[in-house]
Amino acid sequence: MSDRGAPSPADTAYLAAQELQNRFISDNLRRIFLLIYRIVRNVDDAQDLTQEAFIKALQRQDQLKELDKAAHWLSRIASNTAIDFLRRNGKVNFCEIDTLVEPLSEPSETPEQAVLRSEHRAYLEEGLSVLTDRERTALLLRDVEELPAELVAEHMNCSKATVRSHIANARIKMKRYMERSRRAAQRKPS
Amino acid sequence: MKRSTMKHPAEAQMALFAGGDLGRWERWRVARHLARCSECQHEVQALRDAGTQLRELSAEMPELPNNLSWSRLSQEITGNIRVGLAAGEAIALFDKPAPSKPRLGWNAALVILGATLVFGIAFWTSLPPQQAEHLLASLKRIRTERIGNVIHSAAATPEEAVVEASPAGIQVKENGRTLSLMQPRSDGATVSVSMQGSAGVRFVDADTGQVTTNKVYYAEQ
Amino acid sequence: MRSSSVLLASALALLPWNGVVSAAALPKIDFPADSPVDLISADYGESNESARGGALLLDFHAALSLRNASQRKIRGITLLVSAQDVTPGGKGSVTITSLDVGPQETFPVRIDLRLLRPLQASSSVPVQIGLDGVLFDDLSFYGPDKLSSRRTMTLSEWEARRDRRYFKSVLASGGPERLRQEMLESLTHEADRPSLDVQVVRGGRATNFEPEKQLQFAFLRLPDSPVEPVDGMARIAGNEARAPRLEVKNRSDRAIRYLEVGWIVHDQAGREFLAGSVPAELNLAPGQQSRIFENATLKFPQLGAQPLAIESMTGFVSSVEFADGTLWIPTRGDLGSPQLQRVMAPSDEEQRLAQIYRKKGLTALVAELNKFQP
Repeated sequence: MSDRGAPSPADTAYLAAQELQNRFISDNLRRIFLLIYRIVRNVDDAQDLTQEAFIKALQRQDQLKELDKAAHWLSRIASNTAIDFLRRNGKVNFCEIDTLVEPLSEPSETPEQAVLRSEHRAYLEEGLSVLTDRERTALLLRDVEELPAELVAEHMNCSKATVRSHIANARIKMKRYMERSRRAAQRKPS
Repeated sequence: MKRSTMKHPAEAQMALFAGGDLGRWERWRVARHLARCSECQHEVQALRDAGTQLRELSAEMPELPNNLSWSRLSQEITGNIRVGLAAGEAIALFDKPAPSKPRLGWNAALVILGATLVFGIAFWTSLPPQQAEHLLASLKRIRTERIGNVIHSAAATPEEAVVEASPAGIQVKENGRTLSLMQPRSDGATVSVSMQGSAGVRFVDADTGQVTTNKVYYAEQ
Repeated sequence: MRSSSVLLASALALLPWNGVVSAAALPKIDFPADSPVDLISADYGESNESARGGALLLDFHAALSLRNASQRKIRGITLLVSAQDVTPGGKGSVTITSLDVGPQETFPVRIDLRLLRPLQASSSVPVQIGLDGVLFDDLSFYGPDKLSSRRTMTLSEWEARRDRRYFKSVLASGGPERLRQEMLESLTHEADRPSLDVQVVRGGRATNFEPEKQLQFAFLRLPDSPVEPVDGMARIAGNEARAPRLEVKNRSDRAIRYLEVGWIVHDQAGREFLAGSVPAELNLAPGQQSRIFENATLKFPQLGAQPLAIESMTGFVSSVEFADGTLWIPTRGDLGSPQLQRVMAPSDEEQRLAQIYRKKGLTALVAELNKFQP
């Protein structure tokens, strides 16, 4: 029902390019948002940083050499953006190693309550809150984003040895947390 | 859980082994120990289970504030990306270099973009440059707002009839009684009043895309 | 096309209210038998009533589904919302413009209303919802028009057609990239425009202790406006502006029956915004001059740390209705003047289109523009 005649080839190409861009955003948005959110743990910040990451990526499209690496390349921009943010705002030093201590106090909600609510989500949030920023970042990049340890070190701008310590501590803490919760659930009176 | 470090590998080593992060030589040593030690096998399994759980749960959306749904949030994010990109390109069009300020995050970046954009438009419309702050504040307000609070204002004297408007809502007050109309979640609200005694707020309903104007009126005399 | 209150009584989608509200207190939705819209369903799920310090607070939320029962396309609808027991004189309205509802199609309307009244008031039907008007795409109208919704919606439809024509021409001459630039400019201007809380009080003497002074209006004259603003003043005291008086002249060759003057306020801090409008129903023969007066007070709340102090005012003719029912609205060219760009909001349609662009992208916007024939 167009009342202005057929679009020119240039216009058609332009609109097609816009659509490709829309596809790129919609295909990756959820994944990138989750990645950033897990690192910064705040929805508003995650929203801002997600926007920033996509804008950066789409502005630098010409730097992307291989199209099939696009997803990884975008992830990289996203995690860099999130880590930069933590650095600027949280005064987090990503390269100090935390000692492996148990949390002094019990989590504010008993594990029974967590399991009773059958909220796996809360489970995870709880567990991740036991980790420090750097442990959490390292763990997410290594075990969820599945980046090799060298790349994780590059992202966090630390030595590989430091990153390995973060990863090891993080995995141990997560394992302990889940064991504690499971034991508490089993102790629940029926 | 106490471990004798002489016999079993250290906890940290097990943790690295579970994720495939040990060097070849260490990996071989730990694997050899595991073949003979069921306790440590369980330990490694527990670590791997934790990892699996972590991956599964990381794919889930967190609970979003203000009853927001992911579909609404993703629309908003997409919209802001679109605007941000267009702003960047508009600057390129005017060939003005962005001022080199330290990167402070998306909001500030948009100020920088926005400020330059306003400079560009000022070419044609002579807008004062300092209105870039408004751009930032309002682009932040493009964010979905849950609006539902009654405005509190200075009490009218009993015989006065008052209509008032704010982006949160509009109301008419007479004799200590109030009738208010509020917006549901919407994108941007434009306030207007008429001296004949009406106040209105216009918004685009975020769910339906319909342009809606709520108005309140006090009685004519 | 039966009365919709019958449909309502059959409790299609009614949910129980929380709080002390009885079934007798449910809202009454009354459309006449020959109404071009039917009420299909109504959901009051989140409504409730609560007592608050000697007063009763009624929170009323309605999600209505209406259907176009006529043979024409609907472009706008205005519902009248009133609570006679609570605010006998005060009422509200909900207007949706830039609609594109064909025969038999349905569309949603949301009403979120809050009522505050003394506890001892009776609990009879507090809320009434009626139809003030429906505007069709041939600009014909149905309804009692108690709220002048015919004029309001027709003005909005004229603006919508003006703006759609404009954006289509941008697309045709400059391609999608140019259209995108326009959208971005629109969003930027909208973001750039300061927004302000404002009150209108009937009559009103100054309630602050500032000395009152008389201030003249400056005028922004649009070249093709059929009405020329000649003179004007208002009484100003700090953040209040009272009793505007304007002298206007019909310089066209047709009789005029309504006009509206936009009122821009400048404060001491250099801020400027469109404070409100001064409407006037009058009979103005060609060449005739007449006076407009409104006995009301504009009040502005505190704006940040600095209280707002009105320093000067500018008026401009923002719309005119001729005796034959045709309208005059500023052209896009008029709206391009720097001062108007700073203070004026985009039309309903422009805001709707800008949101479509923002949420769904350029292709969707182009498709939407091509849907309308004008």
